[in-house]
Amino acid sequence: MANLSRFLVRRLATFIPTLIGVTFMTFLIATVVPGNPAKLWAGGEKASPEVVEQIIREYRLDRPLWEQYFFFMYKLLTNTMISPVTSNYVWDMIMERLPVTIQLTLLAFIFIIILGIPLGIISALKRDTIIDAVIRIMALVGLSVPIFWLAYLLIFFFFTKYRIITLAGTPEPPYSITGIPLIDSIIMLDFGTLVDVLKRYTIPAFTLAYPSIGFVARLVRNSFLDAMSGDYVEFMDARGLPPSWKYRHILRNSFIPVITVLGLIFGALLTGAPITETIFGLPGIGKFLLDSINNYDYLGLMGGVLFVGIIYLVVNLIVDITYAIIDPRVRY
Amino acid sequence: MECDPIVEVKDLRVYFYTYAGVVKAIDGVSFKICRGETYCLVGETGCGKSVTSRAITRLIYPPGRIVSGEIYYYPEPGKRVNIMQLSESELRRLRGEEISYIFQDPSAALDPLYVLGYQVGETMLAHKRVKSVKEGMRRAVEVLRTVLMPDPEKRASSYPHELSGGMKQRGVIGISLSNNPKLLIADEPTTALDVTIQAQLMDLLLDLKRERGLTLLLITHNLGLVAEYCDRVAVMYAGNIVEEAPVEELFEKPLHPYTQALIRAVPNPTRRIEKLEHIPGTVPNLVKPPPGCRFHPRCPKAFDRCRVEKPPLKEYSDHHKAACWLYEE
Amino acid sequence: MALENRRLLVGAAIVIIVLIAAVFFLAAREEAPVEETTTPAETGTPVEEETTPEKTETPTETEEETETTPAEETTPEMEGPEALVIETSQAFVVVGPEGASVPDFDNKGKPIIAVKFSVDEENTKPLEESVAFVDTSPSFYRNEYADALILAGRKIADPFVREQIYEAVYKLSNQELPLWWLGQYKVVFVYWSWVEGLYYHPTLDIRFDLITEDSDAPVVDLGFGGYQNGPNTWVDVTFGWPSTFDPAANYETFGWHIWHNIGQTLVTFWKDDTKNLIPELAVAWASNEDSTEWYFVIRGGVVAYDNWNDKTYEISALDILFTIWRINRLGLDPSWMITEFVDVNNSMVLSEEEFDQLLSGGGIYASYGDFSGEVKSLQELLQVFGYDGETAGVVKIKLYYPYAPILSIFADPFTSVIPMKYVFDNVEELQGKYEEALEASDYGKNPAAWEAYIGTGENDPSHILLHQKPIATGPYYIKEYKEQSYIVLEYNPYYWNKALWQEMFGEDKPQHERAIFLINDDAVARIETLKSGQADTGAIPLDRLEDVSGYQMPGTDYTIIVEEKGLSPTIVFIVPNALKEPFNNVLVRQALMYAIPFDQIQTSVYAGYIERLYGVLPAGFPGHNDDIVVKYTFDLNKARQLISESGINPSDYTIKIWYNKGNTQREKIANMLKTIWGNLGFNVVVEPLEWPTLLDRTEKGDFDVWIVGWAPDYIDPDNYAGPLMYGGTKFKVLETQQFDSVDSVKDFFKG
Repeated sequence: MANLSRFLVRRLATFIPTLIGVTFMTFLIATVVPGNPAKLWAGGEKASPEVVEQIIREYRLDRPLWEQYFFFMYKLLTNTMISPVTSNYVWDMIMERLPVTIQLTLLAFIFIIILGIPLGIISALKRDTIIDAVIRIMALVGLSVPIFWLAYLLIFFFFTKYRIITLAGTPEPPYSITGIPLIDSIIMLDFGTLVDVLKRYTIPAFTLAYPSIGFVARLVRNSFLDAMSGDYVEFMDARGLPPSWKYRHILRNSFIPVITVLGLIFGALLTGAPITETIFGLPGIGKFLLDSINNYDYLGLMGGVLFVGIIYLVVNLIVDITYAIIDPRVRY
Repeated sequence: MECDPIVEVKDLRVYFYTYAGVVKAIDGVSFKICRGETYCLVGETGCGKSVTSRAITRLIYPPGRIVSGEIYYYPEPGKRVNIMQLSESELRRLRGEEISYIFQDPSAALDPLYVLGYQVGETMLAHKRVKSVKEGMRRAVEVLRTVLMPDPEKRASSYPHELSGGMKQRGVIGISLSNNPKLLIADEPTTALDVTIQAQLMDLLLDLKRERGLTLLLITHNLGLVAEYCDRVAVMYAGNIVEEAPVEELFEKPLHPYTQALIRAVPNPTRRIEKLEHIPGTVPNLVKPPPGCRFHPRCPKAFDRCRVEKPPLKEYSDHHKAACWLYEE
Repeated sequence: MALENRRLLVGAAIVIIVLIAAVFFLAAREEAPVEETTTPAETGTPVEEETTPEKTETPTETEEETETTPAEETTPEMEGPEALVIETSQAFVVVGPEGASVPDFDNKGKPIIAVKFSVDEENTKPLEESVAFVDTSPSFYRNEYADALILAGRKIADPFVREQIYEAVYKLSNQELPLWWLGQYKVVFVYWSWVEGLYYHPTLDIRFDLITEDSDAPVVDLGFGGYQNGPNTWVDVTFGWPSTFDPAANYETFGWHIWHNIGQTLVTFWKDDTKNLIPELAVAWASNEDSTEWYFVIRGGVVAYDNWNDKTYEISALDILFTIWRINRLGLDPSWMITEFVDVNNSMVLSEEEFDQLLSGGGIYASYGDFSGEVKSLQELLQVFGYDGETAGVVKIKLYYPYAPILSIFADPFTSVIPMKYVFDNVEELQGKYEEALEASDYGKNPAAWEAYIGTGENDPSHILLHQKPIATGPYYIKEYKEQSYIVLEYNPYYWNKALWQEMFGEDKPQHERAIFLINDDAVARIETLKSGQADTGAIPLDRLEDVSGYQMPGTDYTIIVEEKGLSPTIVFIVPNALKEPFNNVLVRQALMYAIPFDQIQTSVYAGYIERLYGVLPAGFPGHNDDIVVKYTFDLNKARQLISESGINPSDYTIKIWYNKGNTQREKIANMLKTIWGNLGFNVVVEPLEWPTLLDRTEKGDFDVWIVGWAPDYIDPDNYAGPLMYGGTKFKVLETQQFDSVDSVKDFFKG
């Protein structure tokens, strides 16, 4: 595995240029293209020139682009950047929203795993039967249905008709271990808070997970079928191996692509889900990015993009390493 | 020659139920394999030889099905096992312990995620030759040694993709023989390998056969191998055995026109030829096979009866059978 | 490196270069000047050449007497400047430069208010250098007569004179049309029928302790924090988020709504009364004769509650001074309202004795209730205001110039008091320096010394502190909040005015012990939340009001009420560029005013919730009087007639109408105008622009037409006339006087 460390070093070396590229692009698009945001940040059309001046000075908007960019990035990374639109420390804002997104991600991920994978396996085992057809059609529906439509449907059923879920607030226990109420309440066996958290996050998580459930089910199905039709399966039969051992081999083989996709899905979930968060009123990262764009909060946007970039890079790296660990054919 | 049968197949039919129709892959095949011999099944691609070999241990997957026929296995002279009546677990015990297989592509036969030694050990554990996989992996080294694997310790902890084709096939052979079966079915074991390895492996197989008193069912389309290594040969065409004979007889006096054409088609490397011989036409559609003798559309000697009635496999001389109306008065 | 790697790198580099080039190219394109319309025919400020108040270039005398305009404006003679005579409802207003000739007219027994001016050319910024809204009007329209009236209105204290002057301004705005006035929004309340006592105030939102609920109102779980919506909790489901919790930086409605409930200002309005300011932190106030110095006597016993540290702070005049001084110092969004008028460094704190002595010297006047006149002692002043409790010092606020509406500004929530010691206790760099800062400022006599402790801008630590942990002096305090999710207010146990609650509820706390804002940006989710009873009221889009109106809570008699509560002071209008042809021609402006399809706009864009506006002042403000103005209708014939009179050829002009991207209401209006103006012969293009770009371009006059709205910062007509119509003229002389006869007016102008 000495190769692995070299591989890691090479990958980490590409982190920085990638993050710079991504944030610089965002910076250009956000600040240069639409024009000077100073007046907007100062209050709009009523803004007095002195206030606008002050903003220009404070945020170095009169300096060359390179200087502006590095100034922003430096302040972002040291968490000293205060957004002129929200008056908050940008990085703090992102971190505050992280628990919401994490809870959504965890629950959605659980849905994907407990629904997507078994459905995919059933679909594969019952290939070409009605069950298989139903599952595949539902998967297609899941990928095609607009999220907001599904969200409204679920809200109508679970909130309007049967007051099972809640649409407001973010349940938080008075104590904090990891900062994530879902996990904390389980650790502390605080079932009251746990129930509140589930009531709040379950349906949004399901909405978020739905298209991915379909996707993963299909992936698992195809992967499983692929693995099942591998010649080594026949050889395993020919060797007289018991069926459970056989399925162990098949599962392990079929899971390689699935695990990497799951990793990527986890990464995508972690970067937020703007529509779901908006409809269910959950202040997560996705909503933050959307709000930053709508409010012309370029600094918040840059911070958000930086965060998303880091998540993606790290998740991709982990997925690649995991792949290398699982599949001996892929080694660096 | 005295034949102490180890496997007997009677009137076996295996059909595949596909969207295109019912493929009658094997339509009434009967033969006997004698203990200790090397019995070869020869024919073109698609003639049904692989299916036949699989059918012996009921290794047929949907949409294929063994429709009818009898298959008997004689682990010892006098003891008969009706394979068609075995339960799943009995079948599993049979496979690997009594009857083992070697397949054509060793890369496909091995699970790429596990090291070779594990797969050997696993097989031994399945048949309770060892108590744990770890022990099995240790014994695997010995197994690999017996199949003349160079540097067996290293190879046992190697993944399949780290091994060459020849090494992989040795591994496969090792796996198959690890539980000391009585019958080894080798389906085109060397087709995927290059010629030099081919010879090595065939010699290995024969040595092992001799050492352990194995019976070998060899499936191939390579007449050279047949000539070199086989005792008796059965020629299959379109799901039927059309000729069966001891190897010298077959080459010296092939009865069936198909066999004759096959033999003629093998070019003589020492002679200069203008044109390669081929058999005109194509292998028939097994969903709707031609009536009568399935070879008649391509047979130079076909006549009316051939088109109407299917000739049975009959013995026309000493241990030499053929399915052809030519030899019926 | 390996060949493949090298190729990859080169490929990536090429892609990045192409992308950057594309972005720069785009950026450059955006900034290129837009040249399609004809270049402005009138540059600079042709103040002198005006003979009539209109900016027509045609030398022929176009009387503005088409049958649409009222005929008070007499035709000017072409010799020397003429005064402009405007009839208002109860007076005549005559405005003109020194030496102007006053035409004869019959003043019908009404008083005449004369405004005489002399323009200060040097100090009047040229229009090309002016900034829209700030230096001049958004349309860059400048009319020195109107400007004189507007500036005069600022300084006058007499309410009658003021009102007539603003009526004159209103009338001018209706004739001259510096902007195309469109409409004034109607206020719609959506609430459950168990809510009682809702009222509407144009700049101050409801105070939660002043409204009540039926005690049988259902109790509904909110699903977090154990909170429920019952009769004791007020829940509002809405969208957005207050821009900041620091009052000195907050310049939007949500933040003001909250601060109106957790803060206390010097003066305030009671419920929906927009006319009379009543004491809050200031129990009495007075000013010097020319209203440049104001004195506020501060109530004693007011305590600020710091719920984050469970501490309290007593409020004194020093904190008031500090609060106002700090608004100016930070220089954030709302600060202009202080910076423009208040000379903070020459404002100071006085003790009661010092103030008493000052009063005894004479020259200080108070006006409250029935009383208006000089007060000679603190005791006397307090009697005028009917106050006999404790006091905590006096604050002297110095203004740069007399500005009557300054009191309204002090009712705005952004001036809510912040205890100085709270800031010093909780900002790391300032800890332990409170005494030092007090001394340095000579205990409030020299606030400029505080510059060493409080900085400017977003990064000042006191701003960050208050942004995260606001401190309450009002009926409620912020108990907890989660950004973009909810805000929970709880009644303030240290509120000084518990007597009010005793009177209203018989207890030391209000019925609404708690007020919660639920935040959800999705309209459907808000509607469902309201319908479920989790909220008492909510922000429902205009086109969805029908869906909720009359909805009944199952199992009860309660329904959702959708109620029109009157007119809001928020207005929407269309801005022409008065520097460019053809909009520099008033006839064209009037023509296009006749080409606005208001009824259609009212129904299809605003679902009926807008009222027609004919001038710069909306209903509810002194000066707004629809009896004296032209009520433009949608009349294309008149429009065409005016256009032909103006002498322009519509097809010569390509007009770009801009609106801010995403605002569908303005988009619809723009498209309607495009069709109709197209019918008149103009080439019209509609373009959405990103808000910052739009602001940028319109700031300096780089536009043709755009659509925008305006919401007031404080209750005063100057907050409309100033930013929206004042053209930027500066005056050396500006005198206002009231007369009874035309002759005396003529003398006034000659002398």
